Amino acid sequence: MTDIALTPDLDQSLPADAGTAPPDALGPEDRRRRRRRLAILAVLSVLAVVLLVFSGWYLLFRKPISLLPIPGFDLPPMPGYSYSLYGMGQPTGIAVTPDGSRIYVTQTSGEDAVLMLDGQGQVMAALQSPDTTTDHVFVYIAINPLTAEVYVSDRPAADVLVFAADGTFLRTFEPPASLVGWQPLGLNFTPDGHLLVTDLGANAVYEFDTAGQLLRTIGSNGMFNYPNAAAEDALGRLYVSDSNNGRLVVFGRTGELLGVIRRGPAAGDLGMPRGLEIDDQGRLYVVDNTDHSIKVYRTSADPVALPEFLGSFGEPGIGEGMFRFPNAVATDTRGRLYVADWNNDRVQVWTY
Amino acid sequence: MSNTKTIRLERPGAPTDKTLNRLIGVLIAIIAIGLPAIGVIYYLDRHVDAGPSITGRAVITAEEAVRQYPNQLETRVVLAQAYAADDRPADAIAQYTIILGAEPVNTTALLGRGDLYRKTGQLGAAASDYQALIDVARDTEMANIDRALQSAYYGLGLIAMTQGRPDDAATQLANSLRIDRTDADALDLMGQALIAIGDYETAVEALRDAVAFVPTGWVDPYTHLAQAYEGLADQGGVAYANGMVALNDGRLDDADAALQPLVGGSHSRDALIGLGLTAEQRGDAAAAADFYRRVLAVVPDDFAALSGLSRVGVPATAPLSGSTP
Repeated sequence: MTDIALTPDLDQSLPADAGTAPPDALGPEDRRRRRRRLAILAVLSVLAVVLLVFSGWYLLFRKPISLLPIPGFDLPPMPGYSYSLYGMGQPTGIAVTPDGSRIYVTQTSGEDAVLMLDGQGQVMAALQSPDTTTDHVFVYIAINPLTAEVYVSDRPAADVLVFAADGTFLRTFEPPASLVGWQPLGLNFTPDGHLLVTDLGANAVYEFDTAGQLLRTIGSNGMFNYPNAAAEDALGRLYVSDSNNGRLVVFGRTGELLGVIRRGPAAGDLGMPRGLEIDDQGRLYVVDNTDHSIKVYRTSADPVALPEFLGSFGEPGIGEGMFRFPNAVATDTRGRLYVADWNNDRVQVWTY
Repeated sequence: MSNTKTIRLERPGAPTDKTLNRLIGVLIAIIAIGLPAIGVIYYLDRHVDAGPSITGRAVITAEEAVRQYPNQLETRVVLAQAYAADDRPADAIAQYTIILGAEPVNTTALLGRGDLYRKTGQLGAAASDYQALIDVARDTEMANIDRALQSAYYGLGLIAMTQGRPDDAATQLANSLRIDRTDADALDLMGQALIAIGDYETAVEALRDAVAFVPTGWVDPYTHLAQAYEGLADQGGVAYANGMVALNDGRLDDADAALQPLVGGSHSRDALIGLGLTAEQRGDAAAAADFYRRVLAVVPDDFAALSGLSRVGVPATAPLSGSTP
């Protein structure tokens, strides 16, 4: 817009029809209308940009709105119950592909097989041991982040079986000779593809590299009693659910003991920790079997600090969002948590 | 005075009103189409139709069984219980009524229907069912350990309290506690009935029993205990009970403030146990252990102190770090 001051002198030089606005000049009412239009245009532009940014973000990451990264806003404190998957008997272990399209569930009643479900909970396949001469009870399960192979612990056979992503049996994981007679239970992978195995025979935790070589042993000095699971965070800290001692034991990158989160009544204390999982947001989930809940902690940016307790979710019962002796938890990268709700014969899915 | 007037011209190249209108129309169309579209994509992408809940599945199975065996009462009991669990009290009551039409003394149905009548506010009908159950069960061989009978007495006690008859409530609750003297709910209700009657001393006994079984996570009995101590004009007892209310409300500083002054007095043992529980809530195992061991120094077999030490993982024989009581 251009403002032109019409002075009396200039008025004299104007043609006879001066004083009436030229055809391209705007009167006050026009200006108001135009300003209104521009304001509407600005608001609509902002809305359209927000919509486009959100659409692009969602289609790229497939995370719930609540995980939209807005500076200054933290994650929502606790996830909410979403739905349940049925059709399994006493699900004990669970693993999920990063996109949530495949869910592997072990069960301790019914068919001695690992169920492979699609994202909607439909059974795609049943993974079984090729050895039909002995009993099998599949307990914990983990997916190799580098190969997508599925590792399953088999309690009576004291084996770790390895399956392809489509459920084809590949091999039995061979521990080194020094571990002959081991009783593998909890399985997990570190972010760089190392396998963590808890051993009920030695009450210890082992870390194997991608070639299956034993890298380190933790807790063989009688520290643990029935360790159910181990998990490593992005800073290399190792978390072990020392189940029958009712505590979570935290080690530093080099294996030094950083501290424990104990059994007790205070917020963040534990009852009987079982399965562990760390999600892509750095949150640590601990299944508290006897508290019928999942305890949620934030792993610290300080490499020698214990995790900070954020809260817990779940309560005892058979209703939706209630647990009866949950045993394991897994997460995908889409903001979903999958809980093996053992005595309710279902997998519960929670989401942020 | 200057005789000027101002007109505003459109800047050359500025969008015309028509262009602005067209832009507004395009943006409205983008938003009008894009918003529902991304909403539908988001919903379809995240929604999973998981079907009925556990209780819904139990109802479907039980209904199928009743369709197959309509005259089998056990099957109808299962269906009634499934309806009750699925929060369908009217359907459950209807099934129990069918069962009782065929077998008027079916105690499972009497208790189930009585409980549902009570929960839905039909207290007269509930009392009638409870009484019918009691008439059937009280003289049987198993009466002293009959949980259904105990529940019926408790139900009658609850109704009597609701209807403002604490004397009747106390009688029914005494019957209930004769069968299960560890029922903390019945003990708490008995405490309330005794307070209403004015028997504060017995009320304190009942309520202390209740909190012995459920020491934390339950505010009500401590609130009632404070009332009972108030009736006895025992200010130390009132302070202790209020401290425990604060502890169970999560107001740990208030709990400490109420309990600390009681240490060394007539309620010292209670206060030390309360302080131990407060320390546990703070995650201070060492302080909790000290409080418990101060109790054990006076009462070596104090159950609350021993179980507290067990919870915090400290041996009872470990030396005290603080003073003795």
